[in-house]
Amino acid sequence: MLLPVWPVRADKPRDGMSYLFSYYGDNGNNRVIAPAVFLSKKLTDTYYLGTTAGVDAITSATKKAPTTTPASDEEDEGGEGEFSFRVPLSLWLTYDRDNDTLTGGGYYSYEKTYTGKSLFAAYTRRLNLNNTAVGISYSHSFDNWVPDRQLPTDQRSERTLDLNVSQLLSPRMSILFTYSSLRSDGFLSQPTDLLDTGGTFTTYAQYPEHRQGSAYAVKFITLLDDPTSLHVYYRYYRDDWHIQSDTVNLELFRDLSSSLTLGLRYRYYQQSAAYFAKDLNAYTPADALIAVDYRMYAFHSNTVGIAAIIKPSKGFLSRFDADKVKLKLSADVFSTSSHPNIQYQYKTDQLTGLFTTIALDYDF
Amino acid sequence: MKKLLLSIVLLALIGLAGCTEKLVRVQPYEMEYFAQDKMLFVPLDSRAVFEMHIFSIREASAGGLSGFQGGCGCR
Repeated sequence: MLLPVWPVRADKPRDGMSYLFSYYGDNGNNRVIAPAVFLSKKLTDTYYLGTTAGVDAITSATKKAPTTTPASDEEDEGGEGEFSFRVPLSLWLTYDRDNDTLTGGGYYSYEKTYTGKSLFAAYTRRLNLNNTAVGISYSHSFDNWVPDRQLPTDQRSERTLDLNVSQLLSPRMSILFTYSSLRSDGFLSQPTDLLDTGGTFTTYAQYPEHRQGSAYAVKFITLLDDPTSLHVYYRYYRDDWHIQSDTVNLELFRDLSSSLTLGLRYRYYQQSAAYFAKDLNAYTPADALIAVDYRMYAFHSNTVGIAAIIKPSKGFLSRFDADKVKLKLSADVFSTSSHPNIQYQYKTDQLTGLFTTIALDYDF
Repeated sequence: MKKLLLSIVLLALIGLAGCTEKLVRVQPYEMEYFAQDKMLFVPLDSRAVFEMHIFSIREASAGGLSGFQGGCGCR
Protein backbone atom coordinates (compact mmCIF):
# COMPACT_ATOMS: atom_id res chain seq x y z
CA MET A 1 0.00 0.00 0.00
CA LEU A 2 1.76 3.11 -1.19
CA LEU A 3 -0.36 6.18 -1.00
CA PRO A 4 0.15 9.91 -1.09
CA VAL A 5 0.42 12.00 2.05
CA TRP A 6 -1.78 15.02 1.62
CA PRO A 7 -0.37 18.52 1.73
CA VAL A 8 -1.04 19.94 5.16
CA ARG A 9 0.62 23.31 5.02
CA ALA A 10 1.40 25.59 2.14
CA ASP A 11 2.91 22.73 0.16
CA LYS A 12 2.19 22.80 -3.55
CA PRO A 13 1.60 19.53 -5.44
CA ARG A 14 4.76 17.97 -6.75
CA ASP A 15 5.69 18.01 -10.41
CA GLY A 16 8.08 15.11 -10.49
CA MET A 17 8.62 11.43 -9.94
CA SER A 18 10.15 9.10 -7.36
CA TYR A 19 11.59 5.64 -7.41
CA LEU A 20 10.91 3.91 -4.12
CA PHE A 21 12.21 0.77 -2.51
CA SER A 22 10.95 -0.31 0.91
CA TYR A 23 11.82 -3.33 3.00
CA TYR A 24 10.42 -4.77 6.21
CA GLY A 25 11.63 -7.85 8.07
CA ASP A 26 11.17 -9.18 11.59
CA ASN A 27 12.13 -12.10 13.78
CA GLY A 28 8.68 -13.63 13.25
CA ASN A 29 9.70 -14.55 9.71
CA ASN A 30 7.60 -11.81 8.14
CA ARG A 31 9.06 -9.89 5.24
CA VAL A 32 7.80 -7.25 2.83
CA ILE A 33 9.76 -6.03 -0.19
CA ALA A 34 8.03 -3.17 -1.95
CA PRO A 35 9.47 -1.42 -5.01
CA ALA A 36 7.25 1.32 -6.45
CA VAL A 37 7.14 4.32 -8.74
CA PHE A 38 5.44 7.62 -7.88
CA LEU A 39 4.59 10.14 -10.59
CA SER A 40 2.88 13.51 -10.28
CA LYS A 41 2.78 15.44 -13.55
CA LYS A 42 1.66 19.00 -14.02
CA LEU A 43 -0.80 18.96 -16.91
CA THR A 44 -1.79 22.62 -16.99
CA ASP A 45 -1.30 25.60 -14.70
CA THR A 46 -3.89 24.19 -12.34
CA TYR A 47 -4.17 20.43 -12.90
CA TYR A 48 -1.83 17.63 -11.85
CA LEU A 49 -2.20 13.93 -12.55
CA GLY A 50 -0.65 11.54 -10.06
CA THR A 51 -0.11 7.82 -9.79
CA THR A 52 1.75 5.26 -7.71
CA ALA A 53 2.27 1.72 -8.88
CA GLY A 54 4.29 -1.07 -7.39
CA VAL A 55 4.53 -4.63 -6.21
CA ASP A 56 4.59 -5.77 -2.59
CA ALA A 57 6.25 -9.15 -2.14
CA ILE A 58 5.19 -10.55 1.23
CA THR A 59 6.14 -13.58 3.27
CA SER A 60 4.28 -14.30 6.45
CA ALA A 61 4.68 -16.86 9.19
CA THR A 62 1.05 -16.61 10.26
CA LYS A 63 -0.84 -19.86 10.42
CA LYS A 64 -2.59 -20.88 7.26
CA ALA A 65 -6.22 -21.88 7.38
CA PRO A 66 -6.60 -25.62 7.60
CA THR A 67 -8.33 -27.25 4.67
CA THR A 68 -10.70 -29.06 7.01
CA THR A 69 -13.03 -27.61 9.63
CA PRO A 70 -11.60 -25.83 12.68
CA ALA A 71 -12.52 -28.85 14.83
CA SER A 72 -9.59 -30.62 13.28
CA ASP A 73 -6.20 -30.56 14.95
CA GLU A 74 -4.63 -29.95 11.60
CA GLU A 75 -2.59 -26.81 11.55
CA ASP A 76 -0.27 -25.58 8.93
CA GLU A 77 2.65 -23.46 9.96
CA GLY A 78 3.41 -22.22 6.51
CA GLY A 79 4.51 -19.38 4.40
CA GLU A 80 8.15 -19.16 5.40
CA GLY A 81 10.18 -18.33 2.35
CA GLU A 82 7.14 -18.33 0.06
CA PHE A 83 6.29 -14.93 -1.35
CA SER A 84 2.78 -13.79 -2.05
CA PHE A 85 2.31 -10.65 -4.09
CA ARG A 86 0.15 -7.59 -3.80
CA VAL A 87 -0.13 -5.22 -6.74
CA PRO A 88 -1.30 -1.75 -5.61
CA LEU A 89 -2.19 1.10 -7.95
CA SER A 90 -3.34 4.63 -7.11
CA LEU A 91 -4.49 7.30 -9.52
CA TRP A 92 -5.54 10.83 -8.63
CA LEU A 93 -6.18 14.25 -10.12
CA THR A 94 -5.27 17.45 -8.30
CA TYR A 95 -6.65 20.92 -8.89
CA ASP A 96 -4.42 23.63 -7.47
CA ARG A 97 -5.12 27.32 -7.83
CA ASP A 98 -4.16 30.25 -5.66
CA ASN A 99 -4.92 29.14 -2.11
CA ASP A 100 -6.93 26.02 -2.85
CA THR A 101 -5.87 22.44 -3.56
CA LEU A 102 -8.43 19.75 -4.31
CA THR A 103 -7.50 16.13 -4.95
CA GLY A 104 -9.66 13.15 -5.86
CA GLY A 105 -8.70 9.66 -6.83
CA GLY A 106 -8.93 5.94 -6.44
CA TYR A 107 -6.90 2.97 -5.27
CA TYR A 108 -6.96 -0.64 -6.33
CA SER A 109 -4.90 -3.55 -5.09
CA TYR A 110 -4.96 -7.19 -5.92
CA GLU A 111 -3.56 -10.13 -4.03
CA LYS A 112 -4.54 -13.78 -3.90
CA THR A 113 -6.57 -13.48 -0.71
CA TYR A 114 -7.69 -9.85 -0.77
CA THR A 115 -8.95 -7.23 -3.17
CA GLY A 116 -8.74 -3.60 -2.11
CA LYS A 117 -10.64 -0.72 -3.69
CA SER A 118 -11.00 2.78 -2.38
CA LEU A 119 -11.98 6.30 -3.34
CA PHE A 120 -10.48 9.34 -1.69
CA ALA A 121 -10.70 13.12 -1.77
CA ALA A 122 -8.82 15.90 -0.02
CA TYR A 123 -9.17 19.66 0.12
CA THR A 124 -6.63 22.12 1.52
CA ARG A 125 -7.10 25.87 1.86
CA ARG A 126 -4.22 28.16 2.64
CA LEU A 127 -5.00 31.26 4.66
CA ASN A 128 -3.33 34.25 6.25
CA LEU A 129 -0.45 34.67 3.79
CA ASN A 130 0.29 30.95 3.97
CA ASN A 131 0.57 31.04 7.77
CA THR A 132 -2.48 28.84 8.20
CA ALA A 133 -3.74 25.81 6.30
CA VAL A 134 -6.98 23.96 6.83
CA GLY A 135 -7.41 20.52 5.32
CA ILE A 136 -10.07 17.85 5.13
CA SER A 137 -9.63 14.45 3.55
CA TYR A 138 -11.94 11.48 3.26
CA SER A 139 -11.39 7.98 2.02
CA HIS A 140 -13.69 5.00 1.76
CA SER A 141 -12.50 1.52 0.91
CA PHE A 142 -14.69 -1.31 -0.38
CA ASP A 143 -12.55 -4.39 0.08
CA ASN A 144 -13.18 -8.10 -0.26
CA TRP A 145 -11.55 -11.10 1.28
CA VAL A 146 -10.89 -14.02 -1.05
CA PRO A 147 -10.41 -16.61 1.72
CA ASP A 148 -9.99 -20.34 1.47
CA ARG A 149 -12.74 -20.89 4.01
CA GLN A 150 -16.31 -19.65 4.51
CA LEU A 151 -16.52 -16.31 6.32
CA PRO A 152 -19.62 -14.66 7.82
CA THR A 153 -19.06 -11.96 5.21
CA ASP A 154 -16.33 -11.49 2.63
CA GLN A 155 -16.69 -7.72 2.74
CA ARG A 156 -14.60 -5.27 4.63
CA SER A 157 -14.81 -1.50 4.38
CA GLU A 158 -12.97 1.32 6.06
CA ARG A 159 -13.70 4.97 6.00
CA THR A 160 -11.40 7.65 7.32
CA LEU A 161 -12.09 11.32 7.80
CA ASP A 162 -9.12 13.56 8.60
CA LEU A 163 -9.29 17.19 9.64
CA ASN A 164 -6.05 19.17 9.75
CA VAL A 165 -5.15 22.67 10.84
CA SER A 166 -1.58 23.90 10.64
CA GLN A 167 -0.23 27.23 11.79
CA LEU A 168 3.11 28.98 11.64
CA LEU A 169 3.88 30.31 15.12
CA SER A 170 7.05 32.22 14.36
CA PRO A 171 9.75 32.18 11.64
CA ARG A 172 11.17 29.15 13.49
CA MET A 173 8.11 27.27 14.78
CA SER A 174 5.02 25.61 13.37
CA ILE A 175 2.27 23.35 14.67
CA LEU A 176 -0.18 20.89 13.13
CA PHE A 177 -3.37 19.51 14.67
CA THR A 178 -5.07 16.45 13.23
CA TYR A 179 -8.33 14.76 14.09
CA SER A 180 -9.14 11.41 12.48
CA SER A 181 -12.41 9.55 12.56
CA LEU A 182 -12.14 5.90 11.53
CA ARG A 183 -14.86 3.34 10.94
CA SER A 184 -14.46 -0.26 9.83
CA ASP A 185 -17.19 -2.72 8.92
CA GLY A 186 -17.27 -6.32 7.76
CA PHE A 187 -14.98 -9.21 8.59
CA LEU A 188 -12.27 -7.47 10.58
CA SER A 189 -10.05 -10.25 11.94
CA GLN A 190 -7.55 -12.17 9.85
CA PRO A 191 -9.23 -15.26 8.34
CA THR A 192 -6.09 -17.27 9.09
CA ASP A 193 -5.86 -16.44 12.82
CA LEU A 194 -6.48 -19.74 14.55
CA LEU A 195 -6.88 -20.51 18.25
CA ASP A 196 -5.76 -23.98 19.27
CA THR A 197 -6.07 -24.52 23.00
CA GLY A 198 -4.03 -27.70 22.91
CA GLY A 199 -6.66 -30.28 22.11
CA THR A 200 -9.64 -28.82 23.97
CA PHE A 201 -10.98 -27.03 20.93
CA THR A 202 -9.83 -25.18 17.85
CA THR A 203 -11.51 -22.16 16.36
CA TYR A 204 -10.86 -19.06 14.32
CA ALA A 205 -10.50 -15.54 15.60
CA GLN A 206 -13.69 -13.53 15.41
CA TYR A 207 -13.99 -9.80 16.08
CA PRO A 208 -17.06 -7.57 16.16
CA GLU A 209 -18.25 -6.58 12.69
CA HIS A 210 -18.05 -2.85 13.37
CA ARG A 211 -15.33 -0.69 14.81
CA GLN A 212 -15.27 3.04 15.33
CA GLY A 213 -12.26 4.98 16.51
CA SER A 214 -10.86 8.47 16.83
CA ALA A 215 -7.33 9.82 16.85
CA TYR A 216 -6.22 13.23 18.08
CA ALA A 217 -2.71 14.28 17.16
CA VAL A 218 -0.45 17.29 17.42
CA LYS A 219 2.91 17.86 15.77
CA PHE A 220 5.20 20.69 16.76
CA ILE A 221 8.34 21.69 14.87
CA THR A 222 10.92 24.15 16.07
CA LEU A 223 14.31 25.24 14.86
CA LEU A 224 16.77 24.76 17.72
CA ASP A 225 19.59 26.48 15.90
CA ASP A 226 20.23 27.20 12.23
CA PRO A 227 21.15 23.65 11.21
CA THR A 228 18.97 21.72 13.69
CA SER A 229 15.23 21.18 13.96
CA LEU A 230 13.20 19.24 16.53
CA HIS A 231 9.94 17.46 15.67
CA VAL A 232 7.63 16.46 18.52
CA TYR A 233 4.54 14.37 17.82
CA TYR A 234 1.87 13.01 20.12
CA ARG A 235 -1.24 10.99 19.24
CA TYR A 236 -4.07 9.76 21.44
CA TYR A 237 -6.27 7.04 19.97
CA ARG A 238 -9.36 5.30 21.29
CA ASP A 239 -12.06 3.10 19.82
CA ASP A 240 -15.25 1.29 20.76
CA TRP A 241 -13.36 -1.98 21.24
CA HIS A 242 -11.91 -0.21 24.31
CA ILE A 243 -8.45 0.03 22.81
CA GLN A 244 -6.68 3.21 23.81
CA SER A 245 -3.18 4.14 22.83
CA ASP A 246 -0.54 6.82 23.20
CA THR A 247 2.14 7.47 20.61
CA VAL A 248 5.08 9.81 21.08
CA ASN A 249 7.61 10.51 18.35
CA LEU A 250 10.69 12.70 18.80
CA GLU A 251 12.93 13.47 15.89
CA LEU A 252 15.99 15.63 15.35
CA PHE A 253 17.12 16.75 11.90
CA ARG A 254 20.47 18.41 11.37
CA ASP A 255 22.08 19.83 8.24
CA LEU A 256 25.63 18.50 8.20
CA SER A 257 26.37 20.28 4.94
CA SER A 258 24.46 21.92 2.10
CA SER A 259 23.97 18.48 0.55
CA LEU A 260 23.35 16.25 3.60
CA THR A 261 20.66 16.33 6.30
CA LEU A 262 20.67 13.63 8.95
CA GLY A 263 17.74 12.63 11.14
CA LEU A 264 17.48 10.64 14.37
CA ARG A 265 14.17 9.48 15.78
CA TYR A 266 12.70 7.78 18.83
CA ARG A 267 9.10 6.56 18.95
CA TYR A 268 7.20 5.07 21.89
CA TYR A 269 3.84 3.36 21.55
CA GLN A 270 1.61 1.76 24.18
CA GLN A 271 -1.94 0.44 23.99
CA SER A 272 -4.59 -1.19 26.14
CA ALA A 273 -6.47 -4.41 25.32
CA ALA A 274 -9.73 -4.88 23.44
CA TYR A 275 -12.70 -5.76 25.67
CA PHE A 276 -12.97 -9.26 24.19
CA ALA A 277 -9.27 -10.12 24.58
CA LYS A 278 -8.66 -12.93 27.09
CA ASP A 279 -5.85 -15.21 28.02
CA LEU A 280 -5.74 -17.79 25.23
CA ASN A 281 -6.43 -20.64 27.66
CA ALA A 282 -9.48 -18.83 29.08
CA TYR A 283 -11.53 -19.02 25.89
CA THR A 284 -14.34 -21.56 25.71
CA PRO A 285 -16.42 -22.76 22.75
CA ALA A 286 -19.21 -20.50 24.03
CA ASP A 287 -17.17 -17.35 23.32
CA ALA A 288 -18.51 -15.54 20.27
CA LEU A 289 -15.60 -13.09 20.09
CA ILE A 290 -12.08 -14.44 20.07
CA ALA A 291 -8.76 -12.63 19.72
CA VAL A 292 -5.50 -14.32 18.86
CA ASP A 293 -3.51 -11.44 17.39
CA TYR A 294 -1.35 -9.71 20.01
CA ARG A 295 -2.53 -6.37 18.62
CA MET A 296 -5.81 -6.87 20.50
CA TYR A 297 -3.89 -7.05 23.82
CA ALA A 298 -2.00 -4.54 25.94
CA PHE A 299 1.62 -4.09 24.91
CA HIS A 300 4.14 -1.37 24.18
CA SER A 301 6.89 -0.88 21.62
CA ASN A 302 9.95 1.26 21.03
CA THR A 303 11.31 2.38 17.67
CA VAL A 304 14.62 4.05 16.92
CA GLY A 305 15.71 5.18 13.52
CA ILE A 306 18.10 7.12 11.37
CA ALA A 307 17.37 9.04 8.19
CA ALA A 308 19.32 10.97 5.59
CA ILE A 309 18.32 13.43 2.88
CA ILE A 310 21.02 13.83 0.26
CA LYS A 311 21.07 16.50 -2.41
CA PRO A 312 23.86 15.64 -4.87
CA SER A 313 26.42 18.32 -5.58
CA LYS A 314 26.24 19.91 -9.01
CA GLY A 315 29.41 18.22 -10.25
CA PHE A 316 28.18 14.77 -9.23
CA LEU A 317 25.29 14.68 -11.67
CA SER A 318 26.43 16.84 -14.55
CA ARG A 319 23.70 15.55 -16.86
CA PHE A 320 20.93 16.53 -14.47
CA ASP A 321 19.94 19.68 -12.67
CA ALA A 322 21.29 18.82 -9.22
CA ASP A 323 18.72 21.07 -7.54
CA LYS A 324 15.99 18.75 -8.78
CA VAL A 325 17.39 15.48 -7.45
CA LYS A 326 17.06 14.23 -3.89
CA LEU A 327 17.88 10.90 -2.29
CA LYS A 328 16.07 9.98 0.91
CA LEU A 329 17.19 7.04 3.04
CA SER A 330 15.83 5.70 6.30
CA ALA A 331 16.33 2.70 8.58
CA ASP A 332 14.26 2.03 11.70
CA VAL A 333 14.28 -0.77 14.24
CA PHE A 334 11.29 -1.47 16.44
CA SER A 335 10.80 -3.88 19.29
CA THR A 336 7.60 -4.82 21.10
CA SER A 337 7.28 -5.83 24.71
CA SER A 338 6.98 -9.57 25.33
CA HIS A 339 3.56 -11.12 25.16
CA PRO A 340 2.24 -14.71 25.31
CA ASN A 341 0.28 -14.19 22.09
CA ILE A 342 3.46 -13.16 20.25
CA GLN A 343 4.99 -16.41 21.45
CA TYR A 344 1.87 -18.28 20.29
CA GLN A 345 1.80 -16.62 16.86
CA TYR A 346 5.46 -16.18 16.04
CA LYS A 347 7.37 -18.52 18.38
CA THR A 348 9.34 -15.66 19.88
CA ASP A 349 8.83 -13.66 23.08
CA GLN A 350 8.81 -10.27 21.43
CA LEU A 351 8.80 -9.01 17.89
CA THR A 352 11.82 -7.09 16.67
CA GLY A 353 11.77 -5.72 13.15
CA LEU A 354 13.67 -3.53 10.73
CA PHE A 355 12.15 -1.34 8.05
CA THR A 356 14.08 0.68 5.52
CA THR A 357 13.13 3.00 2.70
CA ILE A 358 15.08 4.37 -0.24
CA ALA A 359 13.53 7.10 -2.38
CA LEU A 360 15.07 8.88 -5.32
CA ASP A 361 13.08 12.04 -6.07
CA TYR A 362 13.38 13.89 -9.34
CA ASP A 363 11.45 17.11 -9.99
CA PHE A 364 10.62 18.03 -13.56
CA MET B 1 -20.31 13.43 19.39
CA LYS B 2 -20.65 14.34 15.71
CA LYS B 3 -22.55 17.52 16.58
CA LEU B 4 -19.87 18.45 19.08
CA LEU B 5 -17.16 17.86 16.50
CA LEU B 6 -19.00 19.86 13.86
CA SER B 7 -19.46 22.69 16.34
CA ILE B 8 -15.76 22.68 17.17
CA VAL B 9 -14.83 22.74 13.48
CA LEU B 10 -17.26 25.59 12.75
CA LEU B 11 -16.04 27.57 15.75
CA ALA B 12 -12.45 27.01 14.67
CA LEU B 13 -13.21 28.20 11.14
CA ILE B 14 -15.04 31.27 12.46
CA GLY B 15 -12.12 31.90 14.79
CA LEU B 16 -9.62 31.57 11.98
CA ALA B 17 -11.61 33.99 9.86
CA GLY B 18 -12.10 36.43 12.72
CA CYS B 19 -8.53 36.77 13.89
CA THR B 20 -6.77 36.75 10.57
CA GLU B 21 -4.36 39.52 11.49
CA LYS B 22 -3.22 37.73 14.64
CA LEU B 23 -2.60 34.54 12.68
CA VAL B 24 -0.22 36.19 10.26
CA ARG B 25 2.76 35.43 12.46
CA VAL B 26 5.35 35.10 9.71
CA GLN B 27 5.75 37.47 6.79
CA PRO B 28 6.51 35.96 3.37
CA TYR B 29 10.11 37.24 3.51
CA GLU B 30 10.61 35.40 6.84
CA MET B 31 9.68 31.96 5.53
CA GLU B 32 13.08 30.75 4.36
CA TYR B 33 13.36 28.09 7.09
CA PHE B 34 10.01 26.53 6.18
CA ALA B 35 11.29 25.75 2.69
CA GLN B 36 14.00 23.52 4.16
CA ASP B 37 13.50 19.74 4.34
CA LYS B 38 14.12 19.63 8.07
CA MET B 39 11.23 22.02 8.76
CA LEU B 40 8.60 20.19 6.70
CA PHE B 41 5.83 18.37 8.56
CA VAL B 42 6.80 15.24 6.61
CA PRO B 43 10.49 15.49 5.69
CA LEU B 44 10.61 11.88 4.46
CA ASP B 45 7.31 11.19 2.71
CA SER B 46 8.52 7.77 1.52
CA ARG B 47 9.15 6.64 5.10
CA ALA B 48 5.91 8.19 6.35
CA VAL B 49 3.82 6.22 3.87
CA PHE B 50 5.64 2.93 4.46
CA GLU B 51 5.70 3.18 8.24
CA MET B 52 2.00 4.02 8.27
CA HIS B 53 1.56 0.63 6.63
CA ILE B 54 4.01 -1.14 8.97
CA PHE B 55 2.54 0.29 12.15
CA SER B 56 -0.97 -0.59 10.98
CA ILE B 57 0.24 -4.19 10.74
CA ARG B 58 1.97 -4.12 14.13
CA GLU B 59 -0.39 -1.94 16.21
CA ALA B 60 -4.14 -1.64 16.72
CA SER B 61 -4.26 2.15 16.30
CA ALA B 62 -4.46 4.33 13.22
CA GLY B 63 -5.13 7.91 12.20
CA GLY B 64 -3.44 11.09 13.34
CA LEU B 65 -1.82 11.58 9.96
CA SER B 66 -3.49 12.12 6.64
CA GLY B 67 -3.28 9.70 3.80
CA PHE B 68 -4.52 6.28 4.93
CA GLN B 69 -7.00 4.82 2.50
CA GLY B 70 -7.37 1.18 3.45
CA GLY B 71 -7.06 -1.47 0.81
CA CYS B 72 -4.84 -4.13 2.38
CA GLY B 73 -6.80 -5.58 5.29
CA CYS B 74 -3.80 -5.04 7.51
CA ARG B 75 -5.62 -3.41 10.37
